[in-house]
Amino acid sequence: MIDKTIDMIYNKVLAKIVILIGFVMILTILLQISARSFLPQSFSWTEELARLSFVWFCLLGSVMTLTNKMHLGVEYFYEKFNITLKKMTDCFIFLFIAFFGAILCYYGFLLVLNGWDQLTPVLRIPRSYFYMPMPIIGGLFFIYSLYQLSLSLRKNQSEKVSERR
Amino acid sequence: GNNEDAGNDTESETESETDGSAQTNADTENDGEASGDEETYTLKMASPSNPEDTMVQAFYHFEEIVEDESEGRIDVEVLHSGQLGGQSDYIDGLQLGSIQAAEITTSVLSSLNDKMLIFDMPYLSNNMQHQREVIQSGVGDELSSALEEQEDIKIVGWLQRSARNVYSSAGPIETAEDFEGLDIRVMESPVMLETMELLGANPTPIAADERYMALQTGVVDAAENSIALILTEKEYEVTDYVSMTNHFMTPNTISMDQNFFDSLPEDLQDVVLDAGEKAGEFAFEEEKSQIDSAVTELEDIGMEVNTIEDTSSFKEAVQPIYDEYEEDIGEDLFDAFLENK
Amino acid sequence: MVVIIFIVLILLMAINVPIAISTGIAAIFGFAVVGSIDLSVMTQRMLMGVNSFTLIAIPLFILAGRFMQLGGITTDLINLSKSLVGFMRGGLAYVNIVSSMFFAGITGSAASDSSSVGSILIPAMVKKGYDRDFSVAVTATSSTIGVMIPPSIPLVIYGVAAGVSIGQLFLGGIIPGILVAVALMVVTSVIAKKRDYPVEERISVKGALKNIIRGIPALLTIIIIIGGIITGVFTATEAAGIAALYAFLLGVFYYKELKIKDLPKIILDVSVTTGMVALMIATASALGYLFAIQGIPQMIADGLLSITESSFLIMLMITIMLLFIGTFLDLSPAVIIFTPILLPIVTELGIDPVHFGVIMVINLAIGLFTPPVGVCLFVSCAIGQISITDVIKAILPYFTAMIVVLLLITYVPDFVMYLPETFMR
Ligand code: NA
Ligand code: NA
Repeated sequence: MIDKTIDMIYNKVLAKIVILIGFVMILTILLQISARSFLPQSFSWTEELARLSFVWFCLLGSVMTLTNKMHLGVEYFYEKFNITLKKMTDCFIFLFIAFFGAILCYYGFLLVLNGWDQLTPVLRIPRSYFYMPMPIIGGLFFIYSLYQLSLSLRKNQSEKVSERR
Repeated sequence: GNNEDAGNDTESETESETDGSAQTNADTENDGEASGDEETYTLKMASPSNPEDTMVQAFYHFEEIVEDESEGRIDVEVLHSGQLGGQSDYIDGLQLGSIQAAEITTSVLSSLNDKMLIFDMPYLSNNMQHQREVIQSGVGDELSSALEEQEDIKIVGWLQRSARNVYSSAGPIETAEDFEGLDIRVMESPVMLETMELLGANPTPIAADERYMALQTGVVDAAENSIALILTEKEYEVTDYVSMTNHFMTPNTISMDQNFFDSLPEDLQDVVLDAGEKAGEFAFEEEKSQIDSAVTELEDIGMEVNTIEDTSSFKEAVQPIYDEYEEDIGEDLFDAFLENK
Repeated sequence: MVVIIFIVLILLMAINVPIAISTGIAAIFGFAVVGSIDLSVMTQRMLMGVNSFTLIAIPLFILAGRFMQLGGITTDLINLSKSLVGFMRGGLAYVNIVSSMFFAGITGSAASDSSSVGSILIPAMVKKGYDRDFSVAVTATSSTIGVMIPPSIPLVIYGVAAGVSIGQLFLGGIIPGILVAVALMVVTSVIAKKRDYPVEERISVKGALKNIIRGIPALLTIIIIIGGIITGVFTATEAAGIAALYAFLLGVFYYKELKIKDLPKIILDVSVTTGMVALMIATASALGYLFAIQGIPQMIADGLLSITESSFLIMLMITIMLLFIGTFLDLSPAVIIFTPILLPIVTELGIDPVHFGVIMVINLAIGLFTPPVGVCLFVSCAIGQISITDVIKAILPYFTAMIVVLLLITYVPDFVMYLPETFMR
């Protein structure tokens, strides 16, 4: 049940949102170029919208990086550990990621609250729309790494360890 | 305003002494005559501008006065050149308490309160003196209180900038007609974009660090800024005419974390306010004297500088923007400028 | 106190906590314990670190590269290189280097270069009797050309951090990139003769022509990027957008391998790679802010300038320091953290920020193939199925060659500055 929910959130919903935002970002940039090249007047809002979508795209993307186990790490010493030590280390790594996520989530939320009455220069929307990815990805990091921790505690198979890139 | 270009100076000479001296000022030890039992405070102030810029010079002036008059009880640290990010970041920094003061222009403060947009209105200030009088007539206090109530930010000093002027490769601007069809680079500000449109130009928002290239390659024919910047950014290399249109004049502020200010004992609050006042005077004199020297220097380099006697055609063209913003900003603020003429 | 932050960072990285997260936790520690600053400021700095229009060039360049790779461009570029240098003794090693150089023109990262070129050429080289460690070494070192010849993600990041024109940086990277290729080929020629490595069959003129026709349209990408930026038609971000559009059209209509329905998957793919870089930029920016507010840049500047005032010696010290930093910190976070610290020092010495950016990126790129933190080395070793320890000896001659080039471009600025000064000043 919980496996399905996690899969649903991270691989279906989040992935679709990231793709959608990616399209918005690319199209906004292309629109900005076309407007500059072919129209007499360029739009003032394309720059800010492109930036807003980029911030969301790359930060939500960093959650996708986590679920794809693609975050760059230093395996040099890790590779020299024995199986037990590797497993223990893995648990610590998940705990560290969860801690990082929790901090981002809580303090990011405070940041969002703080930015609510500050408007952006062009779109005149609250700056909080730019800050919002912080608590969101913090929460997503937190939940996912705790989930992975519980998985690795539950399953005691050694191949699980070698799967980590 | 025009501090968007901090950190771009590429021409410093080897082992030049003049640049270094300004920077080491930030670390100057205070004379430390304070008695040990009194609490001391650290006042970190952030600026996006380079040490040579008037604003950072004014900050150093502020530092000197505060440290001197507080007899070392307040330690001021100036963090310049955008080390701590840009002006809109400083708002968060003040509210979250990582810095205590910052150089923030009224254009950026308008993201907190619409009243601040009053300084973005073109041609509302006749000249720097006029603007100074209006600020001192109570407008400055009124705007500061508005920020204090809602945002916990207090304006402890007004650092005025000289007016922005148009420089271009497409010929001088004498009347509003000369703006017709001019491709001009503007900052990302709706008011500034609209002003240029009202004047008949084709404004293009381009990032500050792409501006030189855009002028060189003819993506735009013109740009607008305080004229000292044409020199520091060497943009006279890619333009030929400076027209003293004086269209915008947005002042900077020394914005302070209200909670920090309140935490100071009363005598130190007075020290800070007094230093803010004096830093404002310093910036005012400095900016004013820079206009003349910049004009001379630009003419020596071979730029054609034209002063404009009659700005009425511009003023007429931009009138609609006053009406559009009157409700958001408040009629009383417009009146404060118009009645003070 | 700052030393403790670095110790936290290194300890976390040593046990394989992702670099971005390690940096983030070091920043949390620094803000909360060392600086006593509200952690909301840290999250704000993280966010502002990626809130830049110019950085949008990164996913767009990655996107362009993906479109090309789906079109089979890697094989085409390798075939093109074979037509050019395959006949030499140790032909495939030269092909590896030259393909990397071509590949550099369409990709902005070194790791993608190692994985694309490496996954084809390492097995091929091993099969032909090249030593395994040698094949991995030549792949790992030559792939760093990917961050020198434009487009280059690290140069974009530097440009943002230093406030320098991306176009000038891109132009500045071209000659050093070619110099590195030449230096690596010189080393290769010595080794290939000594070990009598094989040569490739000569390719017929017709075959060569076919390879050129397949490869050239992809190589035009670099012309679009550079041309667009030099003539001022586009900003770096817009040039990246145009490159992506061009690569897309090429993939659909010329190579005919790209389907519109693949787009969502490709974009998701790009988000994974961008997310990796972005989180490193974000956390490194927070750490950089902490250092700035603690006055570290000024401290280091004063320290360096108190030792000596000779710009020759200071540059040497900075070079050695960066080489050291590059061994344990990845390229992007190192650029973010150390640009604000070092740039004021070098500009005071009269060094052009464009020149310094290229020096810094090439210096740190050497760290990409040195243990313990070297992404190109990881990727190449994984493909070559060999442990990192076993390739160190084979890397050494190439490492030396890179150091020579690094010193050359550091002390002869014209190698970097000639193109930007000719075309963009
Ligand atoms: Na490249
Ligand atoms: Na290679």
